[in-house]
Amino acid sequence: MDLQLSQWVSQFMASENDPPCEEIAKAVIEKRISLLQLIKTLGSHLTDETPHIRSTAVGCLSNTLAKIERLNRADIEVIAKFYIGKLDDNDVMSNTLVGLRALTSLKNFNPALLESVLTSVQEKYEPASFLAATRYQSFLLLETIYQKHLDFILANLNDLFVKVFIHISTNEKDPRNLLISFSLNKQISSTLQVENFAEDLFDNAFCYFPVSFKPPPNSPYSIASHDLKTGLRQVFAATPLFAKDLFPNILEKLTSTSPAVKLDVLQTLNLCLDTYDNDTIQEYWLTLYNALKFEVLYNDLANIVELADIEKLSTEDDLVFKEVIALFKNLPKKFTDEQIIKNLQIMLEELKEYLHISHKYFKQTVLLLSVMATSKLSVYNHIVGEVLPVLLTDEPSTVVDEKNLATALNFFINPDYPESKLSQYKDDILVVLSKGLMSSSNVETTLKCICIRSLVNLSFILDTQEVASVISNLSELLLSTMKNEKDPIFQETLNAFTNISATMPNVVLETTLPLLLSKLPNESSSEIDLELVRNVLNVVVNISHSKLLLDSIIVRLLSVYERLLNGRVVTMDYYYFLLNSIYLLLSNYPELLSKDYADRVIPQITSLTIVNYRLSKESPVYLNERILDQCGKIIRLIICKLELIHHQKILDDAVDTFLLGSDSPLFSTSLGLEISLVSKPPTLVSLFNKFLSAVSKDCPLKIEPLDVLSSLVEITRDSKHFESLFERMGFLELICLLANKYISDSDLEKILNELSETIDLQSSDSLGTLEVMAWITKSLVLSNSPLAMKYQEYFFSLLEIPSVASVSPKLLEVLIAEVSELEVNKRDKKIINLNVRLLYKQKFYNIMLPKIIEGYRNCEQASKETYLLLLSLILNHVHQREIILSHLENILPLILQIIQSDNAKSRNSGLEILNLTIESNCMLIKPHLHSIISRLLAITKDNSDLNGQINALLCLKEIGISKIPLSQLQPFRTTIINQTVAVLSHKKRKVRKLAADVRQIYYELEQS
Amino acid sequence: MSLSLVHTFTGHTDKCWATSIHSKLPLLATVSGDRTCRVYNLETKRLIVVLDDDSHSKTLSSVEWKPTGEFPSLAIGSFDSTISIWGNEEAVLEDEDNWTLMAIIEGHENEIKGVSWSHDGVYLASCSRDKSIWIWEADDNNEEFECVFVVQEHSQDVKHVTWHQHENVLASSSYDDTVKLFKQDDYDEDDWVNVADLTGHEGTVWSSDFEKKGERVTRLSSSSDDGTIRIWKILHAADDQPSIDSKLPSTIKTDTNQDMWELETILPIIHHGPIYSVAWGENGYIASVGSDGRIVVYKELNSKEWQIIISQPHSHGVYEINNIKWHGDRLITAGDDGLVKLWELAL
Amino acid sequence: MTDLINAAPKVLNVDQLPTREGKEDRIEQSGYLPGLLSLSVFNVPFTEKSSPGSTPALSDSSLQSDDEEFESVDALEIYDLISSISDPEHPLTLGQLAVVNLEDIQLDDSGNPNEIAEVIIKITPTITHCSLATLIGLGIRVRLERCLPPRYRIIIKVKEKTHQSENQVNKQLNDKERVSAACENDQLLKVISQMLSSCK
Repeated sequence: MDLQLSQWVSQFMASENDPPCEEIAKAVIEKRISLLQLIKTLGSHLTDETPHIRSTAVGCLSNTLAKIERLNRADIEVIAKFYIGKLDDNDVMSNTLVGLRALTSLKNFNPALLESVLTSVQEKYEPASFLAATRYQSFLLLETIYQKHLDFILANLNDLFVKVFIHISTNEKDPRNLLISFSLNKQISSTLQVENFAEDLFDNAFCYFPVSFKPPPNSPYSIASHDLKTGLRQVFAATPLFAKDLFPNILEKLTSTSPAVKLDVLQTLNLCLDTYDNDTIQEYWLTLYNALKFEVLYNDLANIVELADIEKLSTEDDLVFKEVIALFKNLPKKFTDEQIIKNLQIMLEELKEYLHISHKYFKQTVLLLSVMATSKLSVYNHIVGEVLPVLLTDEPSTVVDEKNLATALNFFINPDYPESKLSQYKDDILVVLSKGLMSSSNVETTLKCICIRSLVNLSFILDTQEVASVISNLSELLLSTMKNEKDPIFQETLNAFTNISATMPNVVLETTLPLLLSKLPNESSSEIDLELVRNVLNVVVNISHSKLLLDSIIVRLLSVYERLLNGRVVTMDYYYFLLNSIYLLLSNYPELLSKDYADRVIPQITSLTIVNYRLSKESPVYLNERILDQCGKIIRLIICKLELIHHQKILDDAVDTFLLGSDSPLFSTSLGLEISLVSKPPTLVSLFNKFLSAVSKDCPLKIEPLDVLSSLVEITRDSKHFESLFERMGFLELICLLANKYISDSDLEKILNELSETIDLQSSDSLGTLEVMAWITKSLVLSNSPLAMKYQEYFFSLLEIPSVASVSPKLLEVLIAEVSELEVNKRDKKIINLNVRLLYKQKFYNIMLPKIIEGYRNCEQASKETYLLLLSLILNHVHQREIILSHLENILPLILQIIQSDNAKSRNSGLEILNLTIESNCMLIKPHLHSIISRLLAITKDNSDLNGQINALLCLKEIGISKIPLSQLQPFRTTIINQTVAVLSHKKRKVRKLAADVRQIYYELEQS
Repeated sequence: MSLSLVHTFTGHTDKCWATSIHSKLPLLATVSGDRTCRVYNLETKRLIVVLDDDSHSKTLSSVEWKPTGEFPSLAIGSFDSTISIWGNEEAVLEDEDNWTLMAIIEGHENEIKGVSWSHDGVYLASCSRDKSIWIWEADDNNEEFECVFVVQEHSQDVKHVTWHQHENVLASSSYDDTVKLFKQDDYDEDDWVNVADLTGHEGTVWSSDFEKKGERVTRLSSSSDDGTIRIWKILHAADDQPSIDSKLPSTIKTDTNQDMWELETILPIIHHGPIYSVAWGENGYIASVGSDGRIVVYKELNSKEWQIIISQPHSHGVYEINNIKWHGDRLITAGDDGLVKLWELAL
Repeated sequence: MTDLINAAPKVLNVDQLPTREGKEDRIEQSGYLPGLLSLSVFNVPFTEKSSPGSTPALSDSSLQSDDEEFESVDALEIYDLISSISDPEHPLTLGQLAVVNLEDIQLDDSGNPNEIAEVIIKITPTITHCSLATLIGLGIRVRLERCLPPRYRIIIKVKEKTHQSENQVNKQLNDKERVSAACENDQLLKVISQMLSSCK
């Protein structure tokens, strides 16, 4: 084995590569060789005069040692002596330290040897003469010794260990070394006996305070100044023994102008507050208090109305302030009960003078005391006991004083202490706050806002009667301020109710709601003030944050609605606002909806609507489609949120009522109306559609769907069957719904074929049939059925048949247009109400657009207009830009034609696509800039088409900020600026603002 | 009495600051913020030429035809602190090619606000924000311009200069609320003396115009930011005996080279806001325009009393009007709308 | 601007400033019905033939009411235009620095587009000898001249007793000719476009 060993040794000694310590260590562990043999083999190299050889040799020994866990005692002793001896040799110091570290961490290392190791390190190792890397090894050595042999050190080598640490760490500069030096200092100071070393250990660390360290750009190890700061901070907090040196020195640094330094000081103090014991704190609390109180007293507290606002502060100076506040919050936690009384007495001696409302430090003093009061209950009670009597006797003379007093009281209202001395002063506080709330001067909005917030905060200690009176005051305030939605008091009160109605819904129910609803004009009011109705309903919608409130509000709104109907009130908007409020309530709080809405509200609305819409001719909403539609929307919203198991019943009831004309919980035929959509077509079809579209498609129809569909088709083919367009659209919608949910493709194909064969395209009454075919095809397009392609083709071919050419764009538009009853129920993913494939729209446009472009190119001049109309109609329904992006280039020529049209509707869909084109690929329009810009400028002047003007301005704006080179835009700059002068005096504010933004872009064009 | 619109000259794409009518030929020149000068034939109303070719890098603020010379020529003052001289040697008015840039005069430190030719075409005066007025001597064929004198009398931006139609007397209006008058020194031809200071206006004086009566300087009108037009009367010029109503006690020792002026009257106040331009017609009427877009014509009843005979609001729509000139019984106005309007006085 | 002329201005936080940005109606009108009907082949505007009886109820006026209503220019609109201009020296807006305040804007406007109107704006410089007052005034004037129709005469004044050379500043701010000259001066234009870049 010796041969192998000497081979290894000669090999690595000659070359530059590292010694094979791995193999050697394995050999030693397997006892094939012993470490002493290694030393012998290294032999002369260990004492070679060239430093490099000696160092490599020692390195080989140390690194091998590091890979071994156990050695017999004798070898350890020999090697220990060897290393101690080597400490004289500076050239190998680094590897010697590595070796000693490896040795001391051996399992059976005899701690007795530690003394000689430590003393020789102290005597022979002089840190100043070595590089940072070597010095680092000395720290690692001490750290390892500390970790492995703490008990032995505590028992025997306490002082020696401390001295060695101080010896090796003095004047250290390297950041990595400092980090380990700080951590060692912290461990030593917190575990060893350091009484007589306290000062040295403190100075050893404090010389680095405050840390101002910028990591060098290419530093090998990523040490941030933050790491050094926190490391150093932990040293100071390690033992209260440092207190006598720390406090005076660190407080002196507070005078620095740099917020970063002040922040460091305060964060250190806060850390020490946690770790030092009570007696130390008690000894120094006054020095701390006097040093820091002016940080609060001199702060103008500009943006602070409540204690909670302190958290929101963000500037650099604010961070310092926040740390001071944290300190004043932690400090009293350390006081014993009698210390609280004594210390606060001292503070109040001075602060009492500031506690008068008009004093310039009033707010600051109150803040300081209220922050300290949040430390613990005993402190809170004592401060409240001392301060509140002073506050409450001080009579505020001006509105500003009232505001300051209310703010001060609010500081002390602390819901964290349910039972506290505060309740003794509850009545006086209530008087002050209520007076402030009801103060006549509307000028002082901040006073009222503070009183509102304070009263809400105070509610946790008020009894029910007091809470009721607060809430009724707030309700009065709501009523008196609701007419101006931007009034800060209104917003503050409304905000308060979001809290109140969640925590005390019953009080709101008994006091606020009746007050609000009483303001609503009723059936006997002479004339209806719509503005008042709108304001009241807006408040009602915004204060129902609980199930109890939601349920009772909806019931009451419905009863108002019913009473108005019976009272023959004719103001249509009033009905609409009521229904819309109910709709908003249900959609704003879907999670509060429950089954009883289906059982109670749906039947009530259904029968109410049928009676008033269809039955009683003198009803104000007789045949009013907008009201009918809004009622339907409410019903659909409820069903969409209903659990699946109830859907079947609701569907059956609807079928009974609307198709079979028989009795159902929804509507009793005893009222004298037998509805049968299939035979006698009343316009209530739109109501039935809301039921049918909302329920899950898995609920089968009670009756044979194909029969229903066939009869509906027969009725709908002939447009004369209907009293109104709205009624006819309802039937077409129903046909589409049935086809999509309940009829197979093959049955639909049969119907469509039959219709297309019997149709005579030359006669005008073919329109009705074509429209029916279109809505059936729509159901196929929605479900992405292969059959859809065939009939899309059919309708496209109609473009070339003169008699129906003008109609076919409308028919193709129907296929893709979005209809709310045919939309997927987004409220509840589990329930699938319709067969709608996600990408049906994408597919439609990918097929249709190329055909239109090609058709436009090949058709003769006469029908070019029809293709443009078709394109503009279907482009109205794009809504997701991804669908159209790839086609923009091809349809651009047509778009440029469309925006020339005088038909505002098609022109606007063209402008929207133009805007999208400019935004996504502006280079496309570069060749047409002149014609586009002049057309856009012309449209901005057309005051008859508001949307057109807006779209045109948006396009101009998009051009201005696009990547089109400046040289291309420059020639248009003056024309655009001059020609948009007119639109600056547009009657609509948002148009004027848009015009101003566009012109600003073109003014700046030259600068960019 | 009312004004009827004869013609509107369009074409400028920015504010039109000033106009000038040739004393003999039917030529109208207009200058604008669009850095072009448009020359029209006043009879046919047709555009003759647009003087542009980027000779100026900033707004053209003032223009005036040279009253003399065999061929028509004009001076243009610009915010780019230079003056350009243009002429048409072939005197074939309609043909636009032969209007050529004859000279570019540099000297002022910053924006030039006014240019004006002396009655005999010998001197060209220019004023600028640099508070100075430069007096140039031009040779007959407008090739060289030599600065003979630099007047540094005003304490602020000089807004406007104009010569008397017969005497070599120059009137300058300034941001320092004063009008100053200058005359050639009797002994040193190249020395111009400040012979009078007309103070009294309570705001920037925007323009002034001499009375067009007789050979000698008689009266001067001035319009100001303070919304008033003041008529100043010369009592006696420095170099001759006191004029007829010499009520002045002889004991007052008059400074040898000071003319004696006095405020004669203030025209009836009707304008709201600054009055940018005043013009005293040969017909004795005074016309004024300003920020309120109103054209006002005043008729003199007796030496202290004037009467407003025409007051036409919104003459350039809602835009401000910057300049007005008489052309016989006709008026020419230039506005922020870039338009130049020719009006007929319907007596 | 090495040494800040006014190092610690008093700052209002943004949401305290009055504005009309982004405030829409609350209970909006139903836009649904006309959409569906327009799909019908029989819809009147589309085909010449009269459809089988278009329902009267649909055409009630309340639907389009707010399109016709004339929204006159008021002080708040002027304030919204200028409060977001940024101060040439601080990364804050004139609104935040309370250099411009809603109550210091006076509007004399008949609303008739063919009549001349007047806007008088009083600015409060952050400190009394602030040499930036003219620059701030110029920035406001350029912004308003670009955003308001030409019938508005813009008068900008320094609030009484808030600036040492109050009259000189007022005079310079309202000299039309010097303002348009300033707008052709490259350095000034750069500063102004910087001030207006924060306008939203």
